[in-house]
Amino acid sequence: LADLDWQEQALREAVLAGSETAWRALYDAHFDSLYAFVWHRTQRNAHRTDEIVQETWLVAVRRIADFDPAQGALDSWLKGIAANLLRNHRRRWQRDRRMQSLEGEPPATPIGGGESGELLALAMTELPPRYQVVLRAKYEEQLSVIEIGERLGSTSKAIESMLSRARAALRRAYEKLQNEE
Amino acid sequence: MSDLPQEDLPLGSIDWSSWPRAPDRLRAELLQATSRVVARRARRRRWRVAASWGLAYAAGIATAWLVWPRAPEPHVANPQLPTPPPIATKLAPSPADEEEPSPLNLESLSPEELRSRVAGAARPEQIHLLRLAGDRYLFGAADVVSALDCYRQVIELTPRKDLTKAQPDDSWLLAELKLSAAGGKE
Repeated sequence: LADLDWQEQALREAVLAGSETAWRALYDAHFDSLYAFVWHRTQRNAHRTDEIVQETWLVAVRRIADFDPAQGALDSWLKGIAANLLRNHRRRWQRDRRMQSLEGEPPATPIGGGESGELLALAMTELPPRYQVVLRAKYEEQLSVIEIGERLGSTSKAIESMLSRARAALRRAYEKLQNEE
Repeated sequence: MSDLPQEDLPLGSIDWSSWPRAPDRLRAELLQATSRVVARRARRRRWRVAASWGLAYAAGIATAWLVWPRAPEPHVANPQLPTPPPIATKLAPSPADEEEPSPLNLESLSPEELRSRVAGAARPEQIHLLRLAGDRYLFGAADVVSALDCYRQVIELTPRKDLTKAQPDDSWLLAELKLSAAGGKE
C-alpha cells in the first residue's frame, strides 16, 4: 500500500506538472474499475453510466490537485466523486423514470444473478482495481493462481496472498452493504 | 499448488456476464478530452515559468540601472516653458557710455591715461580713476610724488564721512592719508 501511495503521489505530481503520460497511466489503471462502480449503481444503464463516468473523469482531471494520497487511494477518491455525481443526478433520473412509466415504457430491470449476486457485484466495485483484477481472473475466468501470476508477472505466493486480502476486503464491503440494506 | 477456497462468500452467484465492458469509444474520447486539460495545464505552467524568469530578468536589469553610478546630467532648459524674449535690446549708446571704459580697459591703461579720463567723469568715477592711477604710480612706477598727487585729489573728492571708512584695497599710503585727513578735517 505504501508503494501504491508513493506511485500515486508521483503520478499526481507528474500530472500537475503537465505530463500526459502520467495521466494516461492513472486513467488506464482506474477506468474499468470506475466504470463498473458506476454501472452497478445506475442499474446497468449504459447511457447514465457513460454520463457519470465522463463527468467524474472531467472533475478528476480538473481537481487532481485536491487528491491527497495520504488521505486515501486514488480509486477511493474517484469513486467518491462518482458517488457525489450519482446523488446529484438521481432526482433527474427519478423524474425521467416517472415520465417513462407514464409513456408505457417498462423500467430497467436487473439482469439475473439474484439478490446476493447483485450485492456481491456492488461490493466488488468498491474494491481497489488490483483486487478486482485478481478476483475476476479467479472467479470469472476460472484461472489458477499460477496462470494469474503469469498474466500479472507475479509469483503464485504473491497472488495467493493478494487473493486472500481481496476476499477479506470483499467480505467487509459485502457486509457493509448488507447492513445498509 | 492448490487454489484457495472461496470461503463462505457467494462468489459463484455473481452474474459475470452482466459485468460491464467499458466501451472503447468512450474510453478513447474521454482520454483525449482529459489529456487536453492536462496539456493546457502544462502550457500554463510553462508560461508561468517563462513569465517568472522574464520578471526576474527585468527586475535585475532595473536594479542594475538604478544603482549604476552615472555622471550628472547637464542642465537642460525645460522645453515646455516658453523661451523669454531677449531682454537686451541694442539702444543707441550715449556719449557718456561711449567714453566710459570697461573694467578691462581700465586695467590695461597707464596712470597717465587714467588721469586723462578723470575730467568730465562723475565724482565716484573720478575717485575710482584717481585711486587706480595712484596705486599704479606707487606700486608700478614707485612714483610716490605722483601717487601722493592722485591720492590728495581722492581725499578732496571723497565725502568727509567716508574718509573714516578704511577700505581693504586701500594702499598703505592712501590709508595713512585718509587717516590724517579725517583727523585734520575734524
